[in-house]
Amino acid sequence: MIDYQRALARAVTGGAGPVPGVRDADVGTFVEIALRKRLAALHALLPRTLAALGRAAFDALARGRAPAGPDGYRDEAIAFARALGTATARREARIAAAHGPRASFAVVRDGRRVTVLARMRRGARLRVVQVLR
Amino acid sequence: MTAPAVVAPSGTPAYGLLYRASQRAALFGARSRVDALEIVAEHFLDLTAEQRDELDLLRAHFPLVIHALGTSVGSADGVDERYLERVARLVAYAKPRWWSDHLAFTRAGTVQLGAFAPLPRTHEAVEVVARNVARVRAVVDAPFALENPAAPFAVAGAQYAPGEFLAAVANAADCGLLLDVENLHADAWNVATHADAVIAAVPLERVFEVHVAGGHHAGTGYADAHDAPVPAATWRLYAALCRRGAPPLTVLERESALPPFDALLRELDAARALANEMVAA
Repeated sequence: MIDYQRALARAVTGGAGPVPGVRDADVGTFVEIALRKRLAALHALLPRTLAALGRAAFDALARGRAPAGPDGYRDEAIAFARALGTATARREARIAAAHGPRASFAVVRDGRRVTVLARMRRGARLRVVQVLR
Repeated sequence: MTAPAVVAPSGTPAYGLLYRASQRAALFGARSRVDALEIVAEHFLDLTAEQRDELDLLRAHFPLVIHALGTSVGSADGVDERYLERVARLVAYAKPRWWSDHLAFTRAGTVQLGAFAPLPRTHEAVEVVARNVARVRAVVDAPFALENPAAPFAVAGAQYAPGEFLAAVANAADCGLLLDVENLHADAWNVATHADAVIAAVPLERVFEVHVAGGHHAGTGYADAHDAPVPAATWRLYAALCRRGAPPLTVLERESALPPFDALLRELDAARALANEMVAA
């Protein structure tokens, strides 16, 4: 069973090779479903990075990474944003790392600059309310 | 044969909804028509002050059950201890009647699949799940139930029929079952599962909860999107189950494309009426 599970994980992360006991077409469909869900979660967690890169570039970069992390998409988003290394992505990685996606506020330190963000209503994005230098 | 340690709670059957914060005002306006709420664990795992406030409000007015997505009880390399500890903290705070997750795997090693992947219906899978559920029950202090997820594909080499697999897993793991009859409907379309045979085979004494929901046809298949009214075929399966006995809790699991709240209440009333009719018959 572990061979089947590892092979399916390899398929999801872009690896080659058959998945024992599963038709190739079924694996392809599953991989696409998983990828759509994963990209939707990353878009929601890194909206500014998405806007800065554009969807095509964002998705192309995200597709090339293995989804990982015990905290699911949030860990992946943090790792992805850190790997991108742009100022926007690094800032969003710090926001995601500092607080959960449903937190009402976040405080992010970037060198000597401290940014305070708040969510004005449930479900809204965190917005910058104060920058201290 | 010894009696199972974990059996479904007895008492008057209850009818509840999957909690959606966007409909909270309407929910509280119709409190008397909703017996219980199911909350998604992942929406509360951080236990922030805001989430605790929300849980306090909900549990003051409704019995709660928790439905999780990330336990991955089918992972051959074991469950994620850090995830389990977070669920344990949530359960300790929210004090649900029980909690549940899916009979699937969502993680292999460090790779998160991002979707429920089906288990092969084999003796080995039964052993893996039983071992993982034993760990789940050791860490999380609430009764645990496993849900049948919709299968996106079939895995060759099955040693059990689908209903027998559910029964074997629940018995080996000594846990409850959450039977999603809409997922059975989807499986009938997508992987030719004989849904009535599954309903006949599940050990009713272990069924804690039932999900009813609706999806849509997509190409030649059926998407278990839980984004539409409950279709007639799923109501028929629910009726077949209720003929054997009404489950302790039925939850209308509408996940997206939420209709006006009144429409959800009407579907919940329909479930209640159908269960009563089948039990009376």
